[in-house]
Amino acid sequence: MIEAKNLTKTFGDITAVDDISFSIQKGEIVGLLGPNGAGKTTTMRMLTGFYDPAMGDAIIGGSSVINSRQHVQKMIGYLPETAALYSDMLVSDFLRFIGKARGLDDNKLQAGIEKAVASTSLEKYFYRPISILSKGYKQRVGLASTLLHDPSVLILDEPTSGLDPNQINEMQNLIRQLSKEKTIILSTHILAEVEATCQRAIIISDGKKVLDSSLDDIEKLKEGSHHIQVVLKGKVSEAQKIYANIFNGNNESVETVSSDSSETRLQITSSMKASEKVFSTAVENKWIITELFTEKLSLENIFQSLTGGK
Amino acid sequence: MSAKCAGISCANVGVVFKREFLNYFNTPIGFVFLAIFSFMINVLFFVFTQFWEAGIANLDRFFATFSLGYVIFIPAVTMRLWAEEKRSGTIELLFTMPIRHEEAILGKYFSALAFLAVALASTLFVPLTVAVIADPDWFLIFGGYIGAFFMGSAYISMGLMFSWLTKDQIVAFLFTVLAIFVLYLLGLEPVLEAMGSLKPIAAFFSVSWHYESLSRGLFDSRDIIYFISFSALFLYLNYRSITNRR
Repeated sequence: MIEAKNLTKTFGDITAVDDISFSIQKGEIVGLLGPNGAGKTTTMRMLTGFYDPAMGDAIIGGSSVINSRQHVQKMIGYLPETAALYSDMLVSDFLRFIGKARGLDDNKLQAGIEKAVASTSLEKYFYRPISILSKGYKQRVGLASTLLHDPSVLILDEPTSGLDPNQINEMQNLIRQLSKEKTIILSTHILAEVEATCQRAIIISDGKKVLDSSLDDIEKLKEGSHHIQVVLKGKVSEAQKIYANIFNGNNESVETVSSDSSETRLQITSSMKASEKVFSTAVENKWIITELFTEKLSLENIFQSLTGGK
Repeated sequence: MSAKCAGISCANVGVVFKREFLNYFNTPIGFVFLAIFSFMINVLFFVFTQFWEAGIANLDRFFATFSLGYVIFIPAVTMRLWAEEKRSGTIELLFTMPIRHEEAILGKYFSALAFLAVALASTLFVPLTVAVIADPDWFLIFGGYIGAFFMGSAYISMGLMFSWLTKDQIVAFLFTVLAIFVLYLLGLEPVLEAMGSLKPIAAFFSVSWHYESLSRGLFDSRDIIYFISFSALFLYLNYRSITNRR
């Protein structure tokens, strides 16, 4: 459905996107993952025909975005970053404008608006000016506007940025719903978001693709190393030694983060899920655990492991 | 499905035109512009040309006021057209729609022309006043308005181009004011005299000089062609600088 071939974009002497290729099958939902400034937005802008690639091409639904830009744009629903909207308009007028601009006739437009408004729950705000809507609702209006022409491909640039946790949840549910009938590519810099919605992740960093794999594989990557923090009540000076005896394999370590009369804080790195062992050892030694948590591997950690820790 | 000319779809131009034109009235700004323009033209005419004191129902000076009024009015009308889209990011929305750049440019250009037409209509009060007390030459008035419209269209295409070059409406406004003011000065007789042998060239490039002859009722197709070429040139420059961005 989407075939990116050696996409490259330069701005002056800065290479924003450097030779990125990937292929997305019909019905897939793929996360484009990377820190800010990695080239996610530029990649999406090339897919949507906003930028011409300096090199390479993108084939969407069998058509080249360079040679038949308008045709490709008809197939795509695109939500730009921070859902830029014409805020002087009413929601209803805005959706009508977008539908007309997409060349829908009156019947299709009416049906498209009804469906899009229903799936984004915008009924209550249909006749409100966009300028008074909250960030979350603006984002929904943006999403609704991408659905009017029932596109087969949705390209969503940071669809949850700036939303509060409830709104993020709703947006993710919406995206999951939509993924039943559409091919979706969304960008984010939050790993958890990809886990919540996507089947596959393409990680880019510094304009280059560094990983393209299913989420299951990424899970395994994350299992490669675990950081556990455990806090024991009081000063337990022998704890470090006892744990160090248990976690003594390769890539395993036990460090004392802090230790005083009220608590002892240890950080344990292990290659497996070790929290059970940490717990049972504490019970055997009659230590009182006040805190025990597994540190989630951050995107940065994954990058480090992917790019050789540079 | 719709009329096409050189691959340009009228429907697409129409969609952009409608949005842009309504935008002038979605906020009070459009009405404020209209009020200020109408007020300015009336003051310039009735006060500065001392219409009542002169005792002659002469409309020559009326059409001369447009040259000056446009220095402020046209930049106010065009400053927003691209700059606001670039600032708010909606440019990305517009350019990822299956609408060609030419269609977007023309839609915006025509919306400003339509707004100009509304503004010109709002000044009809002046010739109507004159008609009450005297019997003006309606052919001359018609010619004057046609000239004012064409002069405005030339300035609008220039203002539209300047609006593309910046994200900031104020910057777009100031540059357009400056450019129109220079073109206005070029058409003034004392300035032209000071140019010496360069006078014919300067006069040829001056928008207000071409307008002068039109507004005096000298309906010369060369002046109309000048204004249309002027518009076409800036619309084309606008198109080129948009495609260069990509």
